[in-house]
Amino acid sequence: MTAGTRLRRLLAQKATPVAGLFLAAVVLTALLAPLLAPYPPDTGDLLRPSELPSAGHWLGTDSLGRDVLSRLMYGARAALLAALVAVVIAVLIGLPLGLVLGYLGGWPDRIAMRVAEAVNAMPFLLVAITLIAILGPGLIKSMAAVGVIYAVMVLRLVRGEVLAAREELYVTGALVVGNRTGRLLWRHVLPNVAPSLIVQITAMFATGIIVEATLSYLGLGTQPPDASWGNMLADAQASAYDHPFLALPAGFAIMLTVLAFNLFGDGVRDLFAREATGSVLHAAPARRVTQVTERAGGPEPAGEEPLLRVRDLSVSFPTGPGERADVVSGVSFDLGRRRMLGLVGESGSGKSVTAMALLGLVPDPGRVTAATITFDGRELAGASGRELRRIRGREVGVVFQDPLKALNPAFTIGTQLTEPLRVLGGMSAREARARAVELLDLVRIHRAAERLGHYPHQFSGGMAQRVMIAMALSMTPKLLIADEPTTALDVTVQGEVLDLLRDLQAEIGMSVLVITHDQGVVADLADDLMVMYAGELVETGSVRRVFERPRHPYTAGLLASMPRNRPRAGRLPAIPGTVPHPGEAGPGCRFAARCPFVIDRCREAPVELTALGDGAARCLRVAEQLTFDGTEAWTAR
Amino acid sequence: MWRLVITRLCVAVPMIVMVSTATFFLGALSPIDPAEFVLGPDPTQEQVDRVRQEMGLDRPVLAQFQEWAAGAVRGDLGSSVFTGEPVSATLIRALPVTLSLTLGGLVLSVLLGLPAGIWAGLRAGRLGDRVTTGLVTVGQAVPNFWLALLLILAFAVHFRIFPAVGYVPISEGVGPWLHSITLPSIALGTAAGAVLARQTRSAIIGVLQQEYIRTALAQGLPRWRVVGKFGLRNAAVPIVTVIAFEVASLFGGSIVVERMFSMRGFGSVTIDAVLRRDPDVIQGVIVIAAAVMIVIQLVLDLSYAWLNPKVRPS
Repeated sequence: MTAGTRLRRLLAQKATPVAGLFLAAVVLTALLAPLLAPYPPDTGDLLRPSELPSAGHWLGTDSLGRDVLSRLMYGARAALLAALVAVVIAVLIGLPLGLVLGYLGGWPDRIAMRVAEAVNAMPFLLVAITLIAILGPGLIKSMAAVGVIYAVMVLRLVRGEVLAAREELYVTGALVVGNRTGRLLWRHVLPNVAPSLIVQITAMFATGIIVEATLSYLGLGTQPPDASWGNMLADAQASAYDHPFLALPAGFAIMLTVLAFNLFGDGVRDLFAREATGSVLHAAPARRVTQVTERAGGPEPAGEEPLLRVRDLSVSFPTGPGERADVVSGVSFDLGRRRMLGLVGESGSGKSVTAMALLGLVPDPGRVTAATITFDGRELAGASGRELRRIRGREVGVVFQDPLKALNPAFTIGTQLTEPLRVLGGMSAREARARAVELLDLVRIHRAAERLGHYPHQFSGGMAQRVMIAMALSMTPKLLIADEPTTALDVTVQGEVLDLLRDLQAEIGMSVLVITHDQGVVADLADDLMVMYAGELVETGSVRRVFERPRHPYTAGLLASMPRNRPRAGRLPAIPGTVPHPGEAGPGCRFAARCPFVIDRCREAPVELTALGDGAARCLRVAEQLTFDGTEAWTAR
Repeated sequence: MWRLVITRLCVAVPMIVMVSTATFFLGALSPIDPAEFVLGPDPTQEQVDRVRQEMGLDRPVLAQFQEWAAGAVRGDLGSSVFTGEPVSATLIRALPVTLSLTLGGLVLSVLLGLPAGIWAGLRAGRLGDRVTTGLVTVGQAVPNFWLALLLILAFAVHFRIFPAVGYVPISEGVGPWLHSITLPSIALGTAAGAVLARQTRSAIIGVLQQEYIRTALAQGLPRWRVVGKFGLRNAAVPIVTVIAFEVASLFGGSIVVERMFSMRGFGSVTIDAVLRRDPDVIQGVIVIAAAVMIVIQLVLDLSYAWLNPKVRPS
C-alpha cells in the first residue's frame, strides 16, 4: 500500500479526520494560549468568584475569580507537554533498548524481561507514584517517571518485533551468517514495528493526558497556581457545594482530547490491519432463485431419485463497496445414493465453498443462491436456518481438512463426541458415552473408553482425523462430506484414513462427497468425478471415463501433473500460471489464459457445458476430440 | 495443581525481595532528604544532623537496608517518621478500604463489560456492535476521578442518596458498607468495564473465526449452544488475562478515587508518604502491593490451567 492510498483510506473513515482536526485545534490552542486566552491564567478578580458563564467569562470563574476558559487553554499546554515528555522518554529509552535486547537475546534479555514483567504486573499508578517519590513532585519530573514506565511497554513491543523478524529471516534464509545481521534486522524491523509503535504512541498520549490530570489532581504533577486540567478538577471538588458547574469544563476537555487520541489511534490501526469480523455463526442459508437454464449436469444415475440434486448453485463475496464476485458460479450436479462423488480442482477453485454452501456454512459476508438443493426429497434452497440445522449432523456429516484445527482444543474429545448425541439425539450422559465408545471402535481407535478423556492435542494427526470421522458419523448420516480429508496428514497415514472411509461407506451405506486436489484419492475411492476450475464445473463423468479419456484440457493437465508409478523421462509436467481471482477471469472461458489449446473464440463469450455420453465438459473444442497425450503441451509453455 | 502453587510461591519470594530492594536503594539515591521535611523550611545544619541521626539516615545505606530487611522478615516494616505509627498497623487499616473499592470496581466492570463485549462480539460489524463500541470508546476516555466527582455532584450533593465522603467497614454491616462503596465502585468500574468489553469483543470475534466453531455448527448444534458452551470457554483465556490486568489497574485507580471520597485507604497513605518523603511507609506500600499482585497472578495461573488443557500438568 502506498502512502497515497493510505491517506485516502484514512480520510474515508469518518471519525479519524474529525478526531485529527480536533487534536490540531487542541495543539494550536496550547501553543497560542498566551495570545488566545482572554485573561491571565493564575490571577483572578477576587470580587467575582464562582460565577456561571457570562459574556465576560465564557466559562465562568473559579473560587478565586480566575477565568475558567483561560485556565482551560493553559491547561491544554500542561496536558500536551506532559504527554509529550512521557512519550519522548518512552521512545528514547524503549526503542533502542528493545532493539538491542531482541538482537542480543541471552541473559541480559531474560533479566530485562523479568523486570519488565514485574513492572507490568504492578499497578501503573502506584509504580508512577513510587518513582515520583524518588524524583520529587512537579510536572516534568512526574511525567518523566511515567515515561520510564511507558518505556517498558515500548521495549516489549520492539523486542517482540525484533524476535519475529529474526525468526522470519532465518526461515526465509535471508540471514545466513554473521556480520550483516544487525543491518538486515534493522531494515526488517523498522517497517514492521512502525505501525504498532504509532498505535502505541497515540495510546500513550491518550493515557498520558489522563495520568497528568490524575497526578496534578493528587498534587504530584503541575503545582498550583499553574493551570492544569487536573488542578482545575481539584478546585472543582473543593467548591462542589457552591459551584458545581466548575466540574464540567476541565472534565470534558480531558474526555474529548483522550477520545480524539483514541479514535485517531483506532483509525491508524485499521489502516494496517483491518479487523475481520465475518463468521460462520451468521452464515445465511441459500436463497432460492429461479433457474435460468437447465444445464447439462453431472452424471445422472438411471432410475432412482438421487440423494442430492443441486442446480445453479452460486456463491458470491463482496470485493469492494457495492461489488460482489462469484467464487462459485452455476454449479449443478446429482449425487446418487450409496455413491461416492469426487470433487477435484486446485486451491481457489471453489470446491470447499461449494460443499459448505450446501449446508449453509459459508461465512458471513458470503451469499449463496441456488435454483434447487434437493436433499432426500427436501428442498434446502430457501430453507430457514432452523431447517438446515436439522439436516446438519443428523443427515449430513462433515469431515474437515485439518483435524487439529477442526477439533476444539479446550474440550476432551469425549465431550465433543457426546454433545450432539445428547443435544440432538436426546441420549443420557451414560448412553452417549457408550455410543461414543462404539464410534471410536468403529474408526478403529484402541482403548476407546480411555481415549474419550483425552484432549485433541494428545492425538496424532491421523488419529485425530479418525476422531473427526467418528464425530461426522455419530448420528449415522445419509451423506458424508469429506473436505480434503487427508491433505493435512502424513503421507504414511493418508492411505489408512482412505481405507477407513471406503470401508465405512460400504458398512453404513451412505453417500460420500469427497473434496480433494489429489486425483489419487479420487481414483482410489470415487465412482464419479467433478472437476472445478475458477468456480465452475469444467468436466464431469465417471472416474473411469475421465481418467481414461479426459475431454477438458484442464482435466488432462491435472492428470498429467499427477506422479504415477511408471518411469517418465524429464520433469513432472505442471500447468503454468494460477487460478484467476474471482471476477477477474474475463468474459470467455476461464481457463483460456492457461490453456495450450486456446483459440480466439474461447476468449469471446462464456462457454457452456456440453453433454457427453458419460458426463459433460465445458470446452468449445470438445467436438474436435482433442488428444492430450504426451506432456509437451504442458511443459512447452 | 499443588505443584503450580508451590512453583508460583517460589517465584514470589525472590520477586518481593527484588521489588523491596529496588525501592529501597532507589529511595536512597533520591536527592530529597526526609529530614528537611520533618524540620520545615530553613533548618540549621545542626538540626538536620540531629534529625538524620535520630532517623538513622547518617549510617551507610547498606546497614540501613540490613536493619529494615531484618525487621521485615519478622513482620516489622518500620514506622512512620511523622506519626511514629508502625507501618504494618497503618497498612492493615488502609488495605480493606482499597481492596473493597478494587473488588467493587471489579464486580461492576465484569457485570458491565462481559455481557456488553459478548453481545457486541456476536454482532460484529452490525449496528448493535457499532453503538456498543462507540459507548466503550467514550467510556475509556472518562477519567475515573472526574466520574467520581460527577457522581458526587449528582447522587450525594443534588440527590442525597449516597454519602459524598467516608468509608464504612464491613464489620459494621454489609448494607452500610455497600452503601459507602457504591459510588466509588461505579467511578472505578466504568472505564475498566469499557476496557473489558473491548477485549471481550475481540476475543469473541477471534474465536468465532476458528474452524472448531464451524465443526460444532456442522454437527448440527444450535447456535446458542455453540457460543455458550464452546465459544465462551475458548474466549475465556484472553478475557481472564484482561481481568487480571484490570485488578492491578483498579488497585492503582482506587488511589485517586479514594482521595475524591476522602477515604483513608492505600492511596491516601501512599500520597501522604510521597509528599512527606516518609521512607518506611513508601517501602511498605510497595511490598504489600507486590504481595497482593502476586496472589492475583497465582489465581490467574490456576484459572489458566483450568481453562486451557495444554498447560495443565497431567
